[in-house]
Amino acid sequence: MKSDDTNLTPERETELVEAALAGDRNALGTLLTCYQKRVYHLCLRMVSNPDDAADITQDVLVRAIQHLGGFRQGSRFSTWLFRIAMNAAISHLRRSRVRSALSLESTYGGDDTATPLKAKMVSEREPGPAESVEQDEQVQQLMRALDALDTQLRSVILLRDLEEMDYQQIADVLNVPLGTVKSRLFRARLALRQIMEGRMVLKSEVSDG
Amino acid sequence: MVEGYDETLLLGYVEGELNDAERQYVQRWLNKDPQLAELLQQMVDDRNGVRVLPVPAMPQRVVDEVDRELNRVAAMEAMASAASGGAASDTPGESAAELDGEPVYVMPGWMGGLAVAASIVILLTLFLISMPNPNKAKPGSRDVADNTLVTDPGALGGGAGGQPATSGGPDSAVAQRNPDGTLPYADDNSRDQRVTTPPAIAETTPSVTDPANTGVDSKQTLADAADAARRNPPKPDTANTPVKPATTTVYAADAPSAELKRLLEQGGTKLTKPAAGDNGAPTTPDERRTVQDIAAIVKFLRDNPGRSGEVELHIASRDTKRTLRMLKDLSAGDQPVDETAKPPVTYPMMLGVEQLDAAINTIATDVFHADVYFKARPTLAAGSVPRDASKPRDTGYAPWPSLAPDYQAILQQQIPSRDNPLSNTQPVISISVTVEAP
Repeated sequence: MKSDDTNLTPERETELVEAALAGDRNALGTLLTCYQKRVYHLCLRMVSNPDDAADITQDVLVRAIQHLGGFRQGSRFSTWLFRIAMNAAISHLRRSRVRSALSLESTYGGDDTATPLKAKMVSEREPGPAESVEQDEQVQQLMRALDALDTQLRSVILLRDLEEMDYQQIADVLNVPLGTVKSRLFRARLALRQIMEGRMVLKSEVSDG
Repeated sequence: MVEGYDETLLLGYVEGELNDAERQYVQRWLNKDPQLAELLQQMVDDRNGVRVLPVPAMPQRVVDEVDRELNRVAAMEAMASAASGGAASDTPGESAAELDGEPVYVMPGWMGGLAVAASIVILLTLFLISMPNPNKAKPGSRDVADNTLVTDPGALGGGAGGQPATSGGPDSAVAQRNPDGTLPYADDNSRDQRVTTPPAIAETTPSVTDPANTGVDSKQTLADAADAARRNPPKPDTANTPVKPATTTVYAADAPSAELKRLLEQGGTKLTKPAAGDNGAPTTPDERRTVQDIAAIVKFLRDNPGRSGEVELHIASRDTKRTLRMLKDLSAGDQPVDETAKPPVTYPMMLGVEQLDAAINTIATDVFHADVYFKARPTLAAGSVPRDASKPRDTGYAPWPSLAPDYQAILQQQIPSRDNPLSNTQPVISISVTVEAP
């Protein structure tokens, strides 16, 4: 997994987790400090909105504090935390999709946001304030393509490339079989490439297990 | 484009996870299909591009909220821990009872000791309360239990120390108080404001100088008094001129009063000047407490004038010259003080006992906003020596062999009204006053 800013080794993470489970709130604070930025980055790339990402990150971290007792020490704390984050982000996107579908239905006849309509909107929209500082056009194009990607495909790419998780960790986070992770990852890369080249990915192409 | 190829091998190639044999196998595909080779290379580029996406700065509000949640959870756990700890402390007693088969509560040993100590304290308190109070029997003395301080100008002019006024009206007003009972050093700005009558102040009243607590606008009262004083300066009471006593000096033969010592040692006898509020009222509980301490000491001196020699009154004023001038005017028979002297200036001052608290209030809050506090006097000498006395003033020589048995009456003897127009109506105390810079 991707190393964080504080060089939190798995051993150190285990120590902190044990201390946090024993009631040491400083240890829990250290853990969250190590991961909060990455959680926010993941959420931002998932929902593509800084404010929403901040809200989700806050919700994720607070939930982690409140439900630490539910964490099983057999798994990695980071896996547990990113699973909470991914679920929260996907739930947010689902809610947003419903709202977006309701609003777009009257104008465009009810297209899904994962359809070419969304991709068209994403590709045509102007960069936001946060994106304006990112001068690299290729990065901008990549981010827009990620936005246009289906949620399931986007999540597996982000966990793999952004968080540098191995397949098993991704499977744990997304709660899907290992084979599904590999299959979804290849399809995600293929879909991303098609979006980058201007070809759209249809939802039917990625609907699998 | 990728149909007919093994996706697992293609993915492995992009991810760089193939072994040599697998890589060579895929490489043969790529050699035959340039489009596939280009696609896989672009996938690798995309992967590298996602990896280096700029990391955004996390909003501070998220960090703050998480910190708050951590603190909240920690506080809740601490409370829960404390609650469980208290329950655990009772466990030994309960477990001991369980040995007998019945749930009988057994009082821990420390509670028994506490009960004995409480009983002793209660008995001691009852004994002390039952002892007679000599001040009660003395004419002109105030009941110790009477925890009121006279701040009512009318009360001051109408006879202090429980005695009826020998002469009413403006001419018999206390010291430089005006006919309406106020002091002539207040601000002129509020001369038209109404005169309020302060109520008697109980021991539990937070502050005698806090208008917010007492309901008295002392500043207004004093301002009106200043105005009235300028219009009607006090005149000597020639009709009631007493005979000057042989001496007005009183020496404390007893050991320093335990109660006074306690009052002085109670941290915070300093009358802190109020915050920059317009009403001049202390604002914090600590300030109110210290003001109350001052009131307690003043009350003690009022009830025990003979103890005035055991304390020193310190005034830390920014306007020392004006403060000295005021003290000089308030003084009841002491020599004038050089107003131009550089602080600190220490001199004995005589003034009516009932006037002390009004003077302190005026100095501390109403006019000068000075810091006023009492200190224990480091000598056994109590009181001051008259100006024409042969003995040196304020020395540490041994106390007077014996107090006159009717020293209370001596204290209440009147000093010529030209010097002290007030002392004919109330006891006069002598106290060491030090005016110093803040």
